[in-house]
Amino acid sequence: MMAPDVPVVRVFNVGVEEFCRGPESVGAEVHQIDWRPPVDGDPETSEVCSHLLADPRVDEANREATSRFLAVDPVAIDVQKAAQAIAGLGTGRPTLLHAGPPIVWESMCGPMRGALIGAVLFEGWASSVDSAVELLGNGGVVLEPCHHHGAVGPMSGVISPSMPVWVIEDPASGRRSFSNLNEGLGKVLRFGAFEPAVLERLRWMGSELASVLSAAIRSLGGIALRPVMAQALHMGDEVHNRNSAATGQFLKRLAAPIAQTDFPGEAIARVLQFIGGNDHFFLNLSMAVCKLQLDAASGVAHSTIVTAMARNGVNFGIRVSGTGDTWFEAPASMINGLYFAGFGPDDANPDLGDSAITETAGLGGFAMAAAPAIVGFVGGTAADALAYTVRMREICVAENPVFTIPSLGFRNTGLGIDVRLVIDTAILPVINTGIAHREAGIGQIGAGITTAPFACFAGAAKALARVSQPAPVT
Amino acid sequence: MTQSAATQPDSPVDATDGPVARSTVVTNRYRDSVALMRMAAAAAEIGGVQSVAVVMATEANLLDAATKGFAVDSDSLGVTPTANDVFIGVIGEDRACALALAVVSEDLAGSRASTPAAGTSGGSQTEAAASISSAFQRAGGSAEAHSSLDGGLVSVAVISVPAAFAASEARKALALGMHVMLFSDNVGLDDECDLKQLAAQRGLLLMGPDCGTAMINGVPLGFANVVRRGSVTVIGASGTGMQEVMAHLHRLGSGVRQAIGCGGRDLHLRVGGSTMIQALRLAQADGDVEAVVLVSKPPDPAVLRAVAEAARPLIARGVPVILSATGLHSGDLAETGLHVADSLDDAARIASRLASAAPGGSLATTTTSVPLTTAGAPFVLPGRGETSVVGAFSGGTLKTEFTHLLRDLPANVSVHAVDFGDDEYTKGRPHPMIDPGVRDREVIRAMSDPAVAVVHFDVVLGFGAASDPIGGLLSQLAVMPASRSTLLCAHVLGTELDPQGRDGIVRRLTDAGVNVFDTNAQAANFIRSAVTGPEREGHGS
Repeated sequence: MMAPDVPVVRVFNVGVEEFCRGPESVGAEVHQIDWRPPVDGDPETSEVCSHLLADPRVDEANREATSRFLAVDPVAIDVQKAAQAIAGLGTGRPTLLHAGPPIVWESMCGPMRGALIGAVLFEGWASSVDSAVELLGNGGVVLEPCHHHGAVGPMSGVISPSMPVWVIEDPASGRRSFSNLNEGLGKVLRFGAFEPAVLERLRWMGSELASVLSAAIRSLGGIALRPVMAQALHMGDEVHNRNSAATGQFLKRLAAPIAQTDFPGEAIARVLQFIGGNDHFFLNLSMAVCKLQLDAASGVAHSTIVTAMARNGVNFGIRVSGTGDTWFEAPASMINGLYFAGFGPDDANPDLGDSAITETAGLGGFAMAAAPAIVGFVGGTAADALAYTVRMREICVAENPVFTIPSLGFRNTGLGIDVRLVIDTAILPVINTGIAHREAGIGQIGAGITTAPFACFAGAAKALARVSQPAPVT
Repeated sequence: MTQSAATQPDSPVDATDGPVARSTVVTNRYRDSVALMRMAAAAAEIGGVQSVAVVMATEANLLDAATKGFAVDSDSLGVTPTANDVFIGVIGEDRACALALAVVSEDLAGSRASTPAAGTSGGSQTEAAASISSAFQRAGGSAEAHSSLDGGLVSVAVISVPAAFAASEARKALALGMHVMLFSDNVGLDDECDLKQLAAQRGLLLMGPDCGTAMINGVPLGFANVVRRGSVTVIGASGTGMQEVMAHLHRLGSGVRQAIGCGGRDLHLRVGGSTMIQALRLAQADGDVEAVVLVSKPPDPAVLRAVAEAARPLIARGVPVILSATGLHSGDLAETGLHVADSLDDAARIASRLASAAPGGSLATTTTSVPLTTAGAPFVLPGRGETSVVGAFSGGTLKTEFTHLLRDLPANVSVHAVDFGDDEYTKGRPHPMIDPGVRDREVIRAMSDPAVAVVHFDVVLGFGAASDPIGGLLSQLAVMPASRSTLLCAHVLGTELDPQGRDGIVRRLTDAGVNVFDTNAQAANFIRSAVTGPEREGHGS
């Protein structure tokens, strides 16, 4: 005799599969969980993760962090000299910023060393390669992560005082972020090249390019960047490894203002040609947008949202909202991908650059479905690109209604990578990225896909558990 | 003239051909220990195979495999194994080994890699979820805790992962608003207290640790028999004790409203009977409960008081609460209003009588059958000398009740009862209800021991238990000469609805000369009377 409202029992079976048979026999809804130990096999990792999942303060903190993220309106307001825009570069001491978590000169990878040498020469702090190396080796230059100064840079990510940087601002809060300008492909500083042509280009970028862009942007009163990215996601970009649509859309907004500046026609032509010829010109803006939004989400007590993922070519570091500026590091991975002719895995540098800030914000590899061709680098199909995107959604706590993906029915992109979910699901954040040659100055040798190391998330969870006192018993 | 062709074997025959040890490692795979043991058992059936080990390649497991003669060195394996890999070791004839390795490797190939390698397919939604959270999301989520078992959607997580991870999984499930059945054992007391506090805060049940049996709203969980749904709620600190009561209720024409396992340590002073009390509160809120049976070991007086207090509202509204706790004196329960049962059968009988079920069955605790040995000879206890009664059990409560009912035998008869489901016997081995091998070995050993007069074992049927729990034992008995002196008894715990086919099991045992009983008390009383002479009055009739 069953009451009319028969309660429904749902069984979630974690472990021995045989235990599904009993509930199945009476027609109960049964879900078998394909359980396995955490990636590092450490019971403490599971334990701290379970405490964080059971702590109601964490979910509330994550909601706060994601709402702060969404409240940011990133507007490109100017191009300025780094020394003017970034406080840390305006001091007397020679200072250079680099990608990834902190690292000393002696430990750096080839491309980053090459980029720093180039920057030292560019600034005139040394007049030869040898003396530049000596200066860097004896502590004559302060070396700090871009991230510590509100900035991000792709690949070696080196920013020096005389270089031009994008200035991105959120009008409501006055909060700012910065990135350098993209040099293009081939022999460029960010891959460690420092020959005269590289420095010459940097000089042009810091003078003519910067002046023209600054005038054009200021004449517009700034350019709101989220609409550009939202459009680009509908046009085949994921705004990390695919930026050509975003670059085109950005150029569309700037072309007339550039033409209307007082600069000579030849200068304007050089500027337009430079931007038009660089499919990745928008990347640095995309990165600065993500940096601004994630910085706003940082520092929320108890929040387990990842606010940065960055690599210095040796180590991969993450930051988490609830632990503020602390870096949780592990060795950087090698990238799985395709190589340009003449190059192979033995030539590759480990994962490098601040550009993983795009994945951290739910774009790039997390929006791979918007740019399916990328998955071809690892022998996958367009369906795999969709699958990756859907899978990454499982480790995000929220959605971003501003950025949608047509091939997923205009579904919102994921937002807020949750350390707890990464550990619990063993789904590692996937990153689309270029592959640098491990020797300075040779350049990009391929592209592919890699994942963030599990150890970073395990470390972060343990630290978060330590700073959280147990929730009071109600 | 015919030429006798000297037959050349395919491979050179070594006159001193002995067994070889071959191994391999399947990287990046995880399967639960029961699944791995099943694979090992299947591979061990291959002709020419002596022994097989299929285990996760943890340091401890590899060390253990090495002592058993399996090849665990990195050179043989070609790789340094990690705890995320599966080690397969075989000892036997060379070809048989190769076949066994191939068979097991293929079996493992079916499962997904434990960590998604960079660049591999993102994985489809049709694969099983890798975590409770994911499964919960996909099933439609809802963080609302439905703590009442009567309300809408009741989610239960059944957790049987290795001990080191069990508490974490349970905590996650509670955080999602699920009731938890924690089957895993060897979970620490601190974790148990922490989890039960969390569960109590949210009005959820934490059944366990070491909870083997439950039935929620008619859905069997863990080791559970197929029983009628009815009006008696059974709340037990033990598995087989609950199973016994549930099977008896069914046999008596009654049925089970809810069966809530509390785990073996719920009545510990620090845990304070948290789950039992929670279950009593749920029973109080359940208008369809007509009787409650509590099954446990005698608890600490303070805990007993707390439990009795929680039972008070039920008793006040006319729902009898019957306690079966072997060794408890009824004086301990004075003024609590609880009924005290002498045995598990007794508890079922009282509950059935007091609930409004139509009496449809019976439950005899004694039998008039004559004790016969496996050879069919009338059993006679040896006149002098030390002798013993050996009991091999799948659960603690049955063992405790058995020993209690045989507590005053003649001085020369000792009782040796072992619970093969105890932690001591289940480390690295499946539970005897899943794989009775260790239990079988003890029965055979005892049958051959001249100092043993009586051998008794239980056969527990139902979901989760082996599909043929007696085949191995019967084939070993068949090759032994039938005994003229040893009495062999068995208690088959189960109902006619259980998947193993109770009638067939009883018949096969009886045909082999085993004295078969429907209840644990019935078996113990039979043995007592066989050993002491005429039946004694006043116990459980």
